[in-house]
Amino acid sequence: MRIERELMRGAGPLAVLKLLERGEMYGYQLVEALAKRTAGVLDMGQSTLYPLLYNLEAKGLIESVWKTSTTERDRKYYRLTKAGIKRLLKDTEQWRAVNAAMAALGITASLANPLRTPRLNLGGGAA
Amino acid sequence: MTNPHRTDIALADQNLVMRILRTPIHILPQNLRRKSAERAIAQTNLPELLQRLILDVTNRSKLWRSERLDVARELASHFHDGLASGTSSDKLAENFGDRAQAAALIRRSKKRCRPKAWHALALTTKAVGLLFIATIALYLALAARAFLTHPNIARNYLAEINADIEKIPEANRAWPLYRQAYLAQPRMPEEIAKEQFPAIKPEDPLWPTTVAYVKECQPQIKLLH
Repeated sequence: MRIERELMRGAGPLAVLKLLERGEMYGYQLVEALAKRTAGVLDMGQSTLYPLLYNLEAKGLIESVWKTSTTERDRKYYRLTKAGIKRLLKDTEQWRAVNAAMAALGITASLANPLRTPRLNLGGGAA
Repeated sequence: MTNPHRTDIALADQNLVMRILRTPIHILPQNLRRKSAERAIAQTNLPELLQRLILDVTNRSKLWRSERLDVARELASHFHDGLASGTSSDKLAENFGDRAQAAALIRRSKKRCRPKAWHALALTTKAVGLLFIATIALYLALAARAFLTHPNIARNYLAEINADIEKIPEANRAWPLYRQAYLAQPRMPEEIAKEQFPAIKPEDPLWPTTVAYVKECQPQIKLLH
């Protein structure tokens, strides 16, 4: 499923911050992890990912460092800053609130019962 | 063991002296001729399709040289990882997305990473530029108004100021008499003029000359009275 740009603009940065929560990652790792862990829903091309990373870096939410070794190629690793951790917590709370509101409207699955798939009621009858 | 991937773009980001010292002598002239980003990308050993993609995106981004090299280095690293995972270069290029859009987004986001001093300077330059344009536009508008229109005196201030004077009858006006007295005034002797005429006292040697001059001016003094 292709996600609209506006939705991606809100979800993308938070998804990247969440992935970096466990430790530093490089660009290709992030692309792969986003595609696999979100079943392709948040699969973003490099043309979207790298500008997103640079924006997060400009805001001071992540920082980058080039790492080189004698056996591996150069890679630029990204990691969360303290400001990034704070933002992750804050945005997570907000997304949970949005998700709960959407669940109440029958748009998303409830966090309490995530396996229950919401049904659309387009006929105007009782749900 | 040396790292084969280290040379590429990381070296291109160094200064000219370091580049010369670290470049093999047989490719030195060629390296110095080519643009740094192009040279660095050519040394990544990536398939030509991906090299062209990186070069196209970095050139379109129109960023600073160091920023372009950083982006090129990161994209090259990304494609190396992609190739190592078994993805074809065609698929990697396809997954990359729109190059023009990528260049624009990368430019915008990379510029945000620049120092605050640069942002302040850019903002100031923009403000001064806008002010200059606004001044020129205002000047041109006023010049056009001055050259293309004719003055229309809606209110005659001179007539209004003179209105009170005009009410006084001709015979009662003092100015013509003042003017007549002034024009008929005899020429003051130079020695009196030099000594500052009003300051001459009776004990002064010029006193008789002064008295004679004042007597000569009697008709004009009467006219003034």
